[in-house]
Amino acid sequence: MPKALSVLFGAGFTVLCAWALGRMALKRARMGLAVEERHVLAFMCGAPLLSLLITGMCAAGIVYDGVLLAAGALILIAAWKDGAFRKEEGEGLAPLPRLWQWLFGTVFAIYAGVALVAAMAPEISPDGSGYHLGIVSRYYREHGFARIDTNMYAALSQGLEMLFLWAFAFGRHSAAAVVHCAFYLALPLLMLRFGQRIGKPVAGAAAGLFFLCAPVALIDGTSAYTDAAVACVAFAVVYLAEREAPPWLTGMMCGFAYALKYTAFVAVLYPLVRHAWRRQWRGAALLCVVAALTAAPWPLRNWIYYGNPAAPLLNRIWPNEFVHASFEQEYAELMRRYPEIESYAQLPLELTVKGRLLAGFWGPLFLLAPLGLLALRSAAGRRMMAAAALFGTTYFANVGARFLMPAAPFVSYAMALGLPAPVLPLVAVAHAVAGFPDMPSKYMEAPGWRLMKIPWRAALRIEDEQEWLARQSEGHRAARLVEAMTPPGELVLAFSSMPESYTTREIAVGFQSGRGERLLDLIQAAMYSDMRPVTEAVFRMPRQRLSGVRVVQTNTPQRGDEREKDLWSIFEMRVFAGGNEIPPAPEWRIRAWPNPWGVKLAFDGLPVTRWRSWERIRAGMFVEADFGGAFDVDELRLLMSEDQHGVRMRLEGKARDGTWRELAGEPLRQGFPVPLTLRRLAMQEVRRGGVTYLLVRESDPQWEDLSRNRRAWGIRETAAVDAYHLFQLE
Amino acid sequence: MKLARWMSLLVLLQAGCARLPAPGPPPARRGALDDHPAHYAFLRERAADARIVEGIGEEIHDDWRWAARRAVLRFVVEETQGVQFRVVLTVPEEFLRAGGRRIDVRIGGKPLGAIDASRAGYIDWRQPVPEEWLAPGKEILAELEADAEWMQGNERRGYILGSAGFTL
Repeated sequence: MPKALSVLFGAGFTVLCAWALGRMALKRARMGLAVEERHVLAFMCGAPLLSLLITGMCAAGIVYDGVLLAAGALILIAAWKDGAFRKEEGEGLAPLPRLWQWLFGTVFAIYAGVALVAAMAPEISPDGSGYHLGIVSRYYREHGFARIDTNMYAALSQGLEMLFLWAFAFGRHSAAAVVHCAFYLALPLLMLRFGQRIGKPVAGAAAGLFFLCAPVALIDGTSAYTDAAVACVAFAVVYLAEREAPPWLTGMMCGFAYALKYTAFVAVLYPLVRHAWRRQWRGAALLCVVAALTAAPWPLRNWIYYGNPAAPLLNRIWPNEFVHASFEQEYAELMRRYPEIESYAQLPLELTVKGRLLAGFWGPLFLLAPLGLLALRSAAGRRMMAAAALFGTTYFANVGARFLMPAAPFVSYAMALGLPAPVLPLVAVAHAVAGFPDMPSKYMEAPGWRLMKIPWRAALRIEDEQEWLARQSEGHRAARLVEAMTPPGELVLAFSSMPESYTTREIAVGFQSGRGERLLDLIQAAMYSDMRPVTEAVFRMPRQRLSGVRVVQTNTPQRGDEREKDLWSIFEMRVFAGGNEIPPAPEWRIRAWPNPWGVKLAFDGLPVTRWRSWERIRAGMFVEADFGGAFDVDELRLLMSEDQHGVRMRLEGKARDGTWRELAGEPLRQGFPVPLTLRRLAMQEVRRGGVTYLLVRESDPQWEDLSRNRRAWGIRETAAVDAYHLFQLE
Repeated sequence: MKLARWMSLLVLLQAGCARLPAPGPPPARRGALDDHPAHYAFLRERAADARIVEGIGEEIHDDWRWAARRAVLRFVVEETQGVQFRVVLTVPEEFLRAGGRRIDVRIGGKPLGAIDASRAGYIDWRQPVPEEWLAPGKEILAELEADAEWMQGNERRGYILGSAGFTL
């Protein structure tokens, strides 16, 4: 029970501090809010302020329990002095009809209870227990920001994670989930108040319930995710804009939207267009400036830590070692089209009544979403549709069901405005019943991600947290294994995601960062025949005196070409004269484009390390060696793999006068004897990269070779749980 | 012009943000590529002579040599686990006309498998080698025994051998 109290304290303290800051901000905004609006808007408007405060504390490296407690106490004292806790009188909003008071109150209370219990239960959501809280827990341990080069998610904006951090300090994982749950529950209230404000209270109440009872909203909103908070802040931006709040306040919410999730940057367009439409240029400018300032910590941090203000995106514009452009391209394509989604025509049914392929579903009610078009008849409906379209624009960047969450409140509103008022109570009740755990399994075949049980015993910690987690999650058992069997400070290379928030060891998942990809590439270059150093590309030319050589890749495959995704790579580049190698000398200057950081790998004499373009091939990529003097040269050899059939090359030479000219076209390709010790060489390089343990799952493609040839790799198994095996590098 | 100015500013901003390393010296070499290791023979190379025990011609044609009905090579391996034996060859029509259909492969006298040589053309044959058949640092004989040969002038011919040896 004390743990349950600490969860509630952590989350409650965070929400209270946000609310208190919001009360002070709203007082200064002088918006003439009604009594019913004040509290929920205070939480919304205080959240960015608290988030910014914690961001500053992270930057200063002063995230300690005592500092957080003192800061919270100061906030509450300041708010109390400011009159935030004083009971206020004021005008009320349009009242809800009696039926709707009862209906909204009952459904909201039931769902809020379920949501609170689900959020209080130990966190097992994939992303929540993985990177969202994995990164929060790292910041907490390090008392502030840390450069985490093993996880690209660490470079996403973390406005909400800052609030998670505050709650995590006192209540750990579940407290963070409850903070997210607070946003999930605040949103229907905000939607109700907005309906009352615009004189459509029934539509507001119905729309609030449509969102609240959607299965994907419930499971997401009760996990340590960010989507419900993004939806809530998106709605708050529209609310504030429609209420003609001061531009600084709306701007702050817009910046906070970006701080929650990059794709929510579109939020600023709604108030901006309103200002522009009315030619309120000063307001528009103030809005943009405050939004930019609120969002600024994240690009600034990313530029300092990762060399890319937009990390982990836009890596071709700001090249960096942290995330490879090739991964970004691959990942973006995967997110645009999930496995088994062959046509966007599948989306409506998957999003509403199937849910297996898009990691969640909104429920059958949302099949009626097209009826929302009827709302275009009213001004309020047109605004909701405009907002839905605005926040829906980024959906196709990731077609998972939860990525519709920012647009969903507006779609809900449009539906509520479009449907005949007499049917709304029936529709709302049917939706609430259909979305309740675990009703979907009664009418759907293999429904997707959703809340299946109400884990009240685990939430109240009547059931032991560790035992419950161990029973629920295989990944959690693996995380505990890593924690128990590896010394502190060790880096573990894993091949698939795991709930890293449950271990204090740093986990580098192969695909989650440039560093992870490079470590993984060492292993794969020794494991897979087409990735091994098996081919030598040989350029021969008449003997001549050169002061440098450059190999240029000349092919840009057409879109749809089967070689479109090829990356160019070179294990070793060697220069010869008369059959003798000219060894690289300190006077040489070597460079490559792209990936200038990796060029040394093509000159280190090791057949397992390779320079890779880490971008899909395009004409103009090059690797170059300037000799700093002149040599007689008649041959250049490139040791390469066979996973790059699309690569076409030409050799250029630098004459003594500094001019470059073409020396040879396509090289001769011949076999090269693969060293039998390649596996061991690879693992030595992995170890040199800081890794001391491997965590391998039997479903990982690397499992078979690693387990069968462990002596050849130079690894030994130290522990195992379920299908996870922990290997130590010798 | 205004657009050009803005574009220049953007490029400058971008350049200011991107942190790229300058060209530098090559690193100290931490290894050396072995072009002629003792575990594999490319018959295109004169160095492969050291791997031949019998049944493989001395003359190099482009990147191959003739192998007779029985060809034997000697190899030394540094690693024994996860190793395969590989033979890259081309079966000529004449081999088939002489009744050739298969080439047996033995490692250290033990039968590893048979290469299906019943059709003319290129073959890249690989077979995992049991770890216990190999010992690091010790010479091991690999025998390729075809079931036919044919005559080209006075020369006995089997098939065209490109390379053979141990690989991963």
